[in-house]
Amino acid sequence: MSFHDEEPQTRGFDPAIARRLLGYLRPCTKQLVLAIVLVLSASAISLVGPLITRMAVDDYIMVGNMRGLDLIMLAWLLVLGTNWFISYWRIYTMSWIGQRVVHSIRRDLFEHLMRLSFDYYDKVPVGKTITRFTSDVDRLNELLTSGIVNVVSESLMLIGIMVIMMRLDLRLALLCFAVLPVLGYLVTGFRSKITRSERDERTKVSEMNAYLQENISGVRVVQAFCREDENLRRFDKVSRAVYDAAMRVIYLFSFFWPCVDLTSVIGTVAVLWYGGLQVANGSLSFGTLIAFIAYVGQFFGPIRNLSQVYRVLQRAMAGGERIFRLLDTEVSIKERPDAVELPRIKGDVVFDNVYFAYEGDNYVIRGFDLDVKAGETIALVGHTGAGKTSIINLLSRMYDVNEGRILIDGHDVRDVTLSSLRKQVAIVLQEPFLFAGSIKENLRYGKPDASDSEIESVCKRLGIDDFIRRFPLGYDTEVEERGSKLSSGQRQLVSFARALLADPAILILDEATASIDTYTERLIQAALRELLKGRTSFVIAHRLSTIREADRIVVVENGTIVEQGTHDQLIKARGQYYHLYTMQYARELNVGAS
Amino acid sequence: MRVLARLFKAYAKHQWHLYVVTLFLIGVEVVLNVYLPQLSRAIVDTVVESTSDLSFVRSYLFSQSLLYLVWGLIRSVVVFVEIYLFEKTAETVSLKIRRDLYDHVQRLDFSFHNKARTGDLMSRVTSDVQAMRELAGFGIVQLVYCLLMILLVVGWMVYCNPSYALACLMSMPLLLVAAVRYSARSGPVFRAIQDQIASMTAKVQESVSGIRVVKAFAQEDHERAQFGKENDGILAKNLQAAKINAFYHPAMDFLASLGGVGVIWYGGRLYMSGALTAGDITAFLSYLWMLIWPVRSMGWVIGMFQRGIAGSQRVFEVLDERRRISDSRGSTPLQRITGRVHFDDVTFSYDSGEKVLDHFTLEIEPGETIGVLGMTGSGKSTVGALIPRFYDADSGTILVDGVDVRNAELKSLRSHVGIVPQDTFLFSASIRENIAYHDPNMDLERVIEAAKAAQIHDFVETLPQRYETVVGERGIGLSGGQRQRVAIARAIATDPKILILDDSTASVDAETESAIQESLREIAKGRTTIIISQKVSSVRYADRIVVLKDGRIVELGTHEELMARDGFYSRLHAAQTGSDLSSIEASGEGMVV
Repeated sequence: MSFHDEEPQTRGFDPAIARRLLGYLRPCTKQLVLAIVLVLSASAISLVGPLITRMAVDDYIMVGNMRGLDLIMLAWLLVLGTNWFISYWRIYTMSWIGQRVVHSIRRDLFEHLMRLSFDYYDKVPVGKTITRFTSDVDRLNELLTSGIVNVVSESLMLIGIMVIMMRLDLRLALLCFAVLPVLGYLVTGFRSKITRSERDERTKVSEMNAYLQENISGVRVVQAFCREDENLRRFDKVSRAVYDAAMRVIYLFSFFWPCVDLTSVIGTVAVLWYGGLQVANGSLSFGTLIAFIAYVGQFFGPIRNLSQVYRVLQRAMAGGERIFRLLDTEVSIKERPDAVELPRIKGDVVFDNVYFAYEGDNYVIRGFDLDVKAGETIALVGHTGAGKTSIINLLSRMYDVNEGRILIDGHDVRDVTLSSLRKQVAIVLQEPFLFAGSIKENLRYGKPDASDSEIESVCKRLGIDDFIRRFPLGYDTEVEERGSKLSSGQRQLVSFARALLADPAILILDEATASIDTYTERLIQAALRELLKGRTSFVIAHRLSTIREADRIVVVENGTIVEQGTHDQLIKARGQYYHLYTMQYARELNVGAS
Repeated sequence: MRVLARLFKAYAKHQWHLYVVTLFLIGVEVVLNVYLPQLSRAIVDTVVESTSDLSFVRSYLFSQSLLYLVWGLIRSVVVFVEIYLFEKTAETVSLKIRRDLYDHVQRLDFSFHNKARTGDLMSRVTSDVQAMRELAGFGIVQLVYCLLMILLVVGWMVYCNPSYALACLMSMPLLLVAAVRYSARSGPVFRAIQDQIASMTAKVQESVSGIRVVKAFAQEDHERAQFGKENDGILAKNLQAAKINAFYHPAMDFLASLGGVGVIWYGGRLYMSGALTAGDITAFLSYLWMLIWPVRSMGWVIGMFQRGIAGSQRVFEVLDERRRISDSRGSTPLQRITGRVHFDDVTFSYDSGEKVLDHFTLEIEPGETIGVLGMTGSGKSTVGALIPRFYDADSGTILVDGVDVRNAELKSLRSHVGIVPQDTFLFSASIRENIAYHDPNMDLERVIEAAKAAQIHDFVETLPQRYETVVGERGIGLSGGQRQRVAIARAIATDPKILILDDSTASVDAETESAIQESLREIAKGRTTIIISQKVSSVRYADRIVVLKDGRIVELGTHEELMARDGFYSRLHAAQTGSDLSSIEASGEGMVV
């Protein structure tokens, strides 16, 4: 959960965003028309209420027409019943439209996310992406379900009330309208003051939440360094700031409501006083007076809602802009329109004068040439930042080369469909990532139709069948997100099995054994050797002992190959590899020390 | 009920005078409300039944209107003070609960935090406290207001005209039932929507965090399908809620209006027969409108109480969590120590599960460097965690300079121990603040000294704002090695007599490791140093090395002594340096996964 909510920037109406939003409404045109009709009828009915009262009072009660009273009351009941029916469908249809649209937007967002390439994920933190799905989408929903329709219906309501009042009695109506500017100021000017201080309160709250989040996750450090007292003092400060901000909002609010109240009291008093005089001298009917008082009471609702509309619109525009910006983020790795399925490959790989930069002309790979025969095991060796990981990212086309090309079995990786390519190239990463679900589901990830016996045989070959079976639920053990039951080494082993189950022609191990302890690594070494057979594989590792067994060792520096050959050849050559190896060896064996 | 009592006893009791004032004001407001229709009734009656004397009507109208205005003014002031007071009370209550909760959580034992999840604790400090705040403020006030209003208005109406009152109030019980049922039915659905949204968010989080795996296996369609399910779930649940809203809201409107129909219809008939005046009808109409809001809001007042009670329970659950590790009555502060540590027959298990340390005995001399070597699950980290008393041993004692750690004042004990934890947690603060974490007033020279010793000073100097550069979640990102060295600087900044490094070099590459080790030799001088690792290279220089397996010491000695033996240590050494690939496989040992 992200506790840092981005506040919407103040921005007005943006026709481009509105047009795109309307695009989402197009499939619901029929429902939208229905909704508008329903909303208009509901408003009309609520306008009619006081008129019926007036008619009942003036035309029947005052003149003693009992039958007429019965009839008009029955008619009123009928109107109320109809209103119930109309309101049901109005509320339901409006929610239906809003939820449909939001549903499609979320679907499109996710669709697009799945297509986006790594350059997006490298730049945008996860929390930001999630906000698009939650609060930004909510803001659009707010506009759709209440905003748009409110503008229409509330404006009509307000105009309707004013017209009716003026037709009933022009002078009394004008007297009532005198309170409108005050009411208008309260709900717009004063209200925006409240909105501002509410925003300030939210900022303070999210600061406090961020403080809490950090100090609860780091509680072990807090205790180890005896910082409890100091931290409590600091928490008091941020917590107090929340209190102060909240009190400011409260102060304004406790002022706001009585003011609104008082304004409508003034309006009512004006009607009573002036209208009363007219009733007394016979120039106004009693029923009209009652209707007037009812209408004064109805002023407030539409004005308040209309004052909200601008804010709702603003928020929705800001949310919409962020959503559409994400939807417009270009997918940099695209399949060609004429991309073909990559047939079952043998695993010949050619890097042909490859240049690559993550950004601008900051090349991390420069003129990389490598010819790998099917079934060969290649170890990539070099310092951190030499470009080893970039090379393998290019192979499964997580990024595209800037210059040169990469061929697999003679096919340029850019000419084939992404899924047919990636399904034949499996990667095991340094940080094993497992999904929420059972071990079995995770193992099946790359090959959803793998049978249980297939899964077990792979696990047996890797020697991990034992540890999985030791869990009470065995292969059905849930892999929890964090409080995980698996150690990081065990997670890595599961990710190994996952990769092997996919039976790829090309296997990439990117620092894959870093989190497995030496014992386990030794244990699976034999199994790995077996499984690497018949596959082209690329291995990146810091530990040189892991690397020695490769068919060919490629030493990378500054994005280019400085040396290659077998372990023995390179040691004999006394070049870069020899240097690295002896340094590492010295460190590991502590040769020459003490 | 007991929860409510506790909530008020603990957090609202000392504000009882504020509650009394607020409740008094509510009473005043209710009385004012009930008075108003009497005023308008008099006006209407004078106007409608006006006899010829227009000048009397004029002056009467004027004075009554003035009275009405004064009424409005008084009511506004009362409502203003009332809202301000109860909100202030509520805000103060939540301020206190927040403080207690945070302070308790930050002092709870490691064993509590091992089980608790940050997200869950966060939701208790935020949304549960919010629910309690609402209950203690608006909830109580609204309940009292509604009950008083209903009681007084209904009572007054019945008193004025029982049969007329009955006709007008007929639909009110139904309205009450509808309001309560609405809140009972919509509550679970809204919670279900929240859960579904949380579940959708979790799915997005997972797919985005694991995007490398998703793409590597070309499983975008699989993810899409899973997300689609979550997304459909939100739609379905929202439509379910829409149905409930669409039924109940208009239904409540209908029932409320029904009362109005009764007032006019039955009232009109009575008027015609001369049993009522026009003023009576308007008064009853006002009373009825007054009742609708209190009756309708009873539904969500009940919901508010339910949420408040549930929130209180969850908050009290944490507050009732006992601290097992705290100062005992006879604990004494540890003054200067030499740094002698003695584990005497210590047995320990987490939550009485499997034994992690099994009759572990070890005497560490002041200034000695001890390497603790073992594989995952061997109990090596526990050795480090027991000295600063993050946990208490099940049996046996741990003595620091001859004092049982359980008898030493916790704060003084921990301030003698510097620890570099396995996963280096840095705070979103400047590097200076992170290094000076133990003592925020530490002067910069000392910070720099520590940074130099941890070999991070040169790097810090290259940063634009040097020691004031903010790191952590909201600052610049540091590499694993850099974080590690900042953590080491933090641990030695207060010059602790005992230094514990828990697998500190596990996640750094070989180059960084050797750099760190270089600096360690300097740092370890004059301190008892405990280096915990699974790598031979990390513990190699220790004065003595303890090899742990299943919580027991299997080997103990210097590097040379252990190498001379054909034991676990020498075989591990061979395996890790790769000098003999076959030894481990041949020995068949170490089936530790």
